[in-house]
Amino acid sequence: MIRLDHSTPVVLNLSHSLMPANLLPELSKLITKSLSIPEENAKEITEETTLESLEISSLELVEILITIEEEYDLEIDIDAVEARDSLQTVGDLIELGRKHGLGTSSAE
Amino acid sequence: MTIPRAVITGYGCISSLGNNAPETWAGMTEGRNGISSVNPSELGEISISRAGVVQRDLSKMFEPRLMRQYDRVSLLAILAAKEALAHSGLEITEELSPRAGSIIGIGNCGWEAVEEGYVRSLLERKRRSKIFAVPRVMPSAPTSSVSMHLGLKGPSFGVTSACSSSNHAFAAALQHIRSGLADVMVVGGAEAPIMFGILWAWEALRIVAPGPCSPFDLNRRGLVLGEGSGVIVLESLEHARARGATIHAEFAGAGSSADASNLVIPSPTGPEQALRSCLQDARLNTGDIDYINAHGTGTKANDAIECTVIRRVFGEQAERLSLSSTKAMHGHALGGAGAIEMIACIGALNENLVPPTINFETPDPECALDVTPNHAREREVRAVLSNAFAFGGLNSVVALKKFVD
Repeated sequence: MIRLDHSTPVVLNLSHSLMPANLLPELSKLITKSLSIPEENAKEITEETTLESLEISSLELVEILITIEEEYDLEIDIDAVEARDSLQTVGDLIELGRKHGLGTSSAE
Repeated sequence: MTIPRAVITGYGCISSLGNNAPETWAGMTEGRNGISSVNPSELGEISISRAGVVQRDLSKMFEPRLMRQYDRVSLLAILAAKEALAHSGLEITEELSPRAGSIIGIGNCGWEAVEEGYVRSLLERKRRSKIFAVPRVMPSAPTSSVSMHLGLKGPSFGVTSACSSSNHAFAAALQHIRSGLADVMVVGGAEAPIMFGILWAWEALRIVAPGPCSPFDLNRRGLVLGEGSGVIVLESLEHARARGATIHAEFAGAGSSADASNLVIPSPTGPEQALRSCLQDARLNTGDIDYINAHGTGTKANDAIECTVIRRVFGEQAERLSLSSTKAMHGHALGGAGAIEMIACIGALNENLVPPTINFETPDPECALDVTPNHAREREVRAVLSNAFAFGGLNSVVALKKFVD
């Protein structure tokens, strides 16, 4: 889908057939991709891994959200402060993804 | 209270002539041509096919996670600044750090990120920008990068005045040393303009030479662009002495002016005022100057006006002056030009050797000065000037002299 008008974002209500039920491996890979670090680092990431332990800055956290948005063609509408306050672990990130329809057979 | 003197205790450079200051200076003295072909862009066709391109591969300078935070112009500045600091032998301690600042002049901005942004938005149709676009684009990013990598916590900011940016950076740093606001200033300029959008814009101006750039030549057809960075460590004499530093030159003075006339048409009055003001600030007479590193872009108008102005200011002394434009060798690095040319000035002072103006064939009666054609010339060099006369009519001239205790 192509939209030239970026100023009026539309939250997509999609049903993604490729969405995996277990989001951890895929999101872990997206984190390494976002941070431009080797993909094998993804194997060591668990739901309990804190973003702090990965030395993820607030800008990088937003970048991870952008990568998730792009990968699944959805919109995560939270700002940097909210992201920093509400997301401490990779598990929190997965939970955020689920809220936006990831990992479920059909979107809410 | 006496005003502190400022001395140069280290310098670094990366240019199309070399990956460090000694290589760049060697290229200048050999009259080497640093101009090479420009990689074609997928964004469009342009007639500019040659420029002064830095040959070092910068893609592996840092690990990828850190790399994506820096635009090319910042990477060039970091390299030149690190070399300059190492050359100075200065250690930035906790105690010194607040008294050591940085100023890096650039004429454009982090253009790589601007271009990537448009590719992402208009061609790839991505909905969001890359996250580091804002800090990469900002014209102060090279200064920030240098301060971070060298641990400089003193007065630090960017300076911009198109092709005079480097000289204005030097002028600002000089004031910081003289006023006592800092003991050390890591100062210079950088530019990375060999990118589609910038080349495209310069192509439209039709002042880029179709062949070799030949400043002061009767048949000159324009400039050739270049990229790179030069950085010096400027230190108060007292501080340099206390640590037993090697002093390469005294930074004698600077003079600036504005034409206040036209964005692109050069005027003789602004440059003349800057030259006179620089000599006055440096307490130098026209008879003290042995070499002028010219702005010498290779355009019809610039070179003729520059020679006219030098004649006006120097009178009879103009006959014994050596003049050269090193831009024919390393390209016009815009905001970084004055900083790369600082290497020519320091080299000339230390080795009593004037780097040449290459590609020179036919004298132009409008530029009838000794432009040091094609070969470096040995002569006594006691003091030098470096000219920068920018688009927008912002002029800055700096003066160096041999250090005498």
